[in-house]
Amino acid sequence: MRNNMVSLEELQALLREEGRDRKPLGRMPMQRWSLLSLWALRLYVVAMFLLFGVKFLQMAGIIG
Amino acid sequence: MAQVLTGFSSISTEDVRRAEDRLRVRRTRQNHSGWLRRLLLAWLLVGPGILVMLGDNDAGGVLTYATTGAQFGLGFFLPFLLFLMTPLAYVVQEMTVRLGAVTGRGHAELIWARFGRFWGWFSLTDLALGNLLTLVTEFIGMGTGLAFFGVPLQIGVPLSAAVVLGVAIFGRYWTAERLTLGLAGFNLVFVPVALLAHPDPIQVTKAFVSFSLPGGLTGAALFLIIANIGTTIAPWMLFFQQSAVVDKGLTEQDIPHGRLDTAIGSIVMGIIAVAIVIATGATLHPAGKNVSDLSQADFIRALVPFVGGTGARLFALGLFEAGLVAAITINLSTSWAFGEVFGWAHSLNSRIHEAPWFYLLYIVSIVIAAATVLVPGAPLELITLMVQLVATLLMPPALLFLLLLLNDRELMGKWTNGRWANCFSALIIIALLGLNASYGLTVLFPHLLPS
Repeated sequence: MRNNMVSLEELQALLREEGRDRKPLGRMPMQRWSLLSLWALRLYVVAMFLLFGVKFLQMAGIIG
Repeated sequence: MAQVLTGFSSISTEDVRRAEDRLRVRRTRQNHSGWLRRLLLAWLLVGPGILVMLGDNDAGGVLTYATTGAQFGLGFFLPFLLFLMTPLAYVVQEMTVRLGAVTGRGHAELIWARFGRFWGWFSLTDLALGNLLTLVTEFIGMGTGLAFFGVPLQIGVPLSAAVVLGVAIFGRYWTAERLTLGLAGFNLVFVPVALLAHPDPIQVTKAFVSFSLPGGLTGAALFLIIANIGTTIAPWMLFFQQSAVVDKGLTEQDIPHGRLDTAIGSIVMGIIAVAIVIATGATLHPAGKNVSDLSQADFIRALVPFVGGTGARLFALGLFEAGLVAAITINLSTSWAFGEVFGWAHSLNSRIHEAPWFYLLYIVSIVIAAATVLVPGAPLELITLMVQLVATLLMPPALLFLLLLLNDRELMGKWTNGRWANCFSALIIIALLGLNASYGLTVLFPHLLPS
């Protein structure tokens, strides 16, 4: 066996160490400030889309 | 190896190859001590941090830094980039190292799992669109760099596409990472370009201690501040480094080396950014050259009288390399993200037939981006604006998700963010939101700030 080849035991240990036997994740439990920040984020996204939408309309010559 | 693994159908080539790399790390920890151990471990474990930072100095970034130097000279932006943006990039990217090493999952996968489909789709679509458009700008950069050496665009662009493809298809993370790191080394050519510009050392020193913005906060200055921030921290970087950390197989034990890797990368990135600003700030700015509308090719030509043919060739080489490394890293971040979300095999340790969707997406993105550059009359100006829009839109959400995930105790355990990291990250998000909102206002009301 080449020096850098992995034995089965080593492979299993390495996979465990790496956490590849992980469980599926559920939704994150939200605290008040997390929920608030996500709502603020929604507002931000809408505002930025509107702002850059205006820029595109300006570039396209639709508005002055 | 096949014999050893007979009967273990759930263990893929990807696992075996990663395990071989991890074995070298484990044996180094067991068999060596002192400085040799530290040196060998650093050699084995660095990669994602340096790559993400040097990939971030992409073709568009080079042009942004060059424009900054040409417009504002050796002033405000030197300390801004080195003392503010470099630590900022480190703080943000260090969080992705912890998140990747602790959870073993990529950024896209975590957003999807922890925040649901709406934010999952939002992040993924934004990332994919932004990356594809950025990829187009990288091919423009690569084509322009090669064109300076007499290679026509019709040959330069497909040639660049072939190299970007070639680097990723070895079926081994280690090989792809080391090849890209080797290519990224050429980013340093901007340092000799800066030296060839013969900057006045006293003026450079003065620039580092004065934080004043010549002419005050004008619309152009605000635009360049946002552009420089957008060039230094970008959404794809979060996705790339976390996925690379996972694909490399880093664990909690490797976090100190991941931090070292990120620190080295951010310092080198800062030095190169400063070198580019000096190269144009010491030459084009004093000469009063108007560069705001120059293309990349014109930029290189404008430098010839100041840094000579050698300096200009080095700049062209740097531009080609910047586009090349960025194309590889940015494109990988898309493929990894889609693979994580849709459950495809998504490792550079997999062969093409083992991870067909992962590689197909990588290839298709390259073909589309390269072909777009070759289309006569393609709306490149619009694409550049779109890149900016998508990056601006995604950065605060991406940072917010990063911050929320880093405070997820169930996920992070003892690696949860501390108070200082939270304060610093929150400050970054607020500053970005403020700058983006200001820019938005200047879009709506162009005469709000003096021109």
